[in-house]
Amino acid sequence: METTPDMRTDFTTIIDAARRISAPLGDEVESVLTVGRERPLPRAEIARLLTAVVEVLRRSASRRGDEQTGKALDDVNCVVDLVLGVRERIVAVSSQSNRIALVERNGIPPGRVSPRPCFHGIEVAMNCGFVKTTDIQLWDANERLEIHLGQFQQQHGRKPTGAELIDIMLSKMKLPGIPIGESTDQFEIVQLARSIAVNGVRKPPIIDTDGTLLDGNRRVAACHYILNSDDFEADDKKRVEYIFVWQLTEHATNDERNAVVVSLNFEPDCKQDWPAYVKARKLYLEWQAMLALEPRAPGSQRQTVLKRSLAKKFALEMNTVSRYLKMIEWSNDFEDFHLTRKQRDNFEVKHRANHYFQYFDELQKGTSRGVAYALDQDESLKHLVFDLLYDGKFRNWSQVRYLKHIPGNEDARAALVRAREESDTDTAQEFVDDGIAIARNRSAEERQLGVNSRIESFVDWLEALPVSAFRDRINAPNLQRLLKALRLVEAHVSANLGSTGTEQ
Amino acid sequence: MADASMTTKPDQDECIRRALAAASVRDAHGMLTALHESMVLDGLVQTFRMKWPTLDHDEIDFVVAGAVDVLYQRVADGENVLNLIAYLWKVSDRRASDRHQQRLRESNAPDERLEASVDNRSKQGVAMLDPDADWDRRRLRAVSIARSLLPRLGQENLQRVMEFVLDAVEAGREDIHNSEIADALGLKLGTVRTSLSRAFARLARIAREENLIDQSELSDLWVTDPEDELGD
Repeated sequence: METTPDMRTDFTTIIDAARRISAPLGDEVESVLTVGRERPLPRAEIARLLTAVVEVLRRSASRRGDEQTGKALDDVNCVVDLVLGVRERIVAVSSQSNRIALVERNGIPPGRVSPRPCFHGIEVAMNCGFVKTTDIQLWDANERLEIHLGQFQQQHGRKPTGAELIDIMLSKMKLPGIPIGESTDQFEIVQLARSIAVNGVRKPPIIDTDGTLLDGNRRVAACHYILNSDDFEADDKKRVEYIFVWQLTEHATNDERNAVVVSLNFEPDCKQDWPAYVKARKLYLEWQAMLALEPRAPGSQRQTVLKRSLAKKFALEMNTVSRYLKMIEWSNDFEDFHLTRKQRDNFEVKHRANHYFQYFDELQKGTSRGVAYALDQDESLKHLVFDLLYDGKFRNWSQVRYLKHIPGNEDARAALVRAREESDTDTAQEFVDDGIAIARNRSAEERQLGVNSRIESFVDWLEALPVSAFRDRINAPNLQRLLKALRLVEAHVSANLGSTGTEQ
Repeated sequence: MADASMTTKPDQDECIRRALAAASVRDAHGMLTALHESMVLDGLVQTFRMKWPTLDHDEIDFVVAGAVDVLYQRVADGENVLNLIAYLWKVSDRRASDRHQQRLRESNAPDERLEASVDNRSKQGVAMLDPDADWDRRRLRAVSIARSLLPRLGQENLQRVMEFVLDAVEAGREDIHNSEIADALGLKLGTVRTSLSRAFARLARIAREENLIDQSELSDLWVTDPEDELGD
């Protein structure tokens, strides 16, 4: 067929049109509806758009001689005002009907908060009562979420919905740039949820008349988490199905709203958490009481059950319970030693145990061949460490990790003993530094001992291994470790023996 | 602080139904009121601002306003619009695309060259054709060429659905639905979907063989791998 550039252009245009008019637009249609609902244009912009629409319709009608349409749209401003007014009336009516009503629950009827609470110097009238948790809308202007919301807006071109806000707060929505350590529960909702499951929501969230949260985003997100998580029992869920809240009255002004937000989100509440030592002690006492009620010494499975119940009672994670219990056992050893052997004052010892409590976390680690094992095997070393700890002669808790290399290393031990005897803390800390350094170096040296014979025996063993073992016996993580190690070897071989791998 | 919008999707669907009903009796005011209540115009404008960042807000308003005008005329003239939003979307998108292309052409062709070209044509006595009439003629020719290729699509269903679509293009339709084609031709919806997809792909191949399309100018819209559609 003879064709010209014009023919090609026209043909392409026609087929493009055919494709376009027959293209299905299901997703786009839904998106237009959603965007319209969630991001209506500001009044000034919709007025400008409607003016453009009316003018185009009017001109077009005039060209066609459509008098009926032309007459109906003759006064552009009047038409636009009338059209705008319809939606404004609907919004006014629906905002009245969308007021969240407080309800009675557990015999507690809604009422006024009395005396009137004061926020940022302004007394604000409030009502109190219960609302259904799922009726509360998270506050999408919360400064705490500013970066997250901006990022969401950039990615999706719109604000998040209520459900998406909850996903953001629960760290279910992956947003780039959040540090790895904070990517699973950045707002610590899970921990808060555990507390709420046990205690309920103790500080009432504050909501606007329509249910928008002004204060309490984390608490409400935690309630949503409880309602939707399998980790919680039916009773826990029932406890958070309705929340006791404070609600602004319909007469609240924007100044009052701002005062609430500023007061509760910017001014510190001066609350100080209990020290870990105090919390762990309470936990330990409860643990002992539980054990006393057991008819016989509980096995490991029973202990797990008991610890789980303890975790729930104190709103802690299971591993925190186990850690606290071990730390308290070490703290008890420490206190016993100083009370009985050193004849020190009870409260002075407790202060020290409280102050150095995190050190016991390091001391309790490694019961098979770590620090705990080394100190349990060597009572005098343990007492030496307790003395150094009491007098603040460790610079930081990371030094404790290397104590496992002290047994059998007389030089290192001697340095620690000198540290104990030294009355000047700075000098003593230097002796501890020396002791730790000696222990670490000796450990590194020991790792080098017999290096050739170790490699020879490993290579012999590896070469004798049937090929099928790689497929059937060695698991994937170990295969990957082996590969990583061999690559490391390859790099050293290239560096020391050249690319051929033979000695130069 | 509260969201001003309390509209639900069923509310929007009802408003859209009212807008079409109003347009069908030439009640422009009623159509506008219902459209405004449905928040469809808000959604379209917000969406097209994102999709066509090269166009300013006034241009987007004008594009959407033009689409509403087309919708109003067609419905008032008796055209059966099955999906108001898809209709407005397609008309607005075509117009926005035209404006964007026009802007690109303007930025690629300096004013002096355009003026020189116009001057030359005037001096040479070239009759300036009525652009609408010229395009009608060329459009008919292009549709006729497309029809002549239909037998080469092979399967009867492919030929029938493509013929239906070409009829719609020729009639100046802005939007047709698979359900409409299915009803008209007595085919299942799935058959229409796969037939359309294959027909466009085969038409593209044949057009290339006939040197009717320039690969570099081929619109993304109709480059479809029929294998992708087989699983539908």
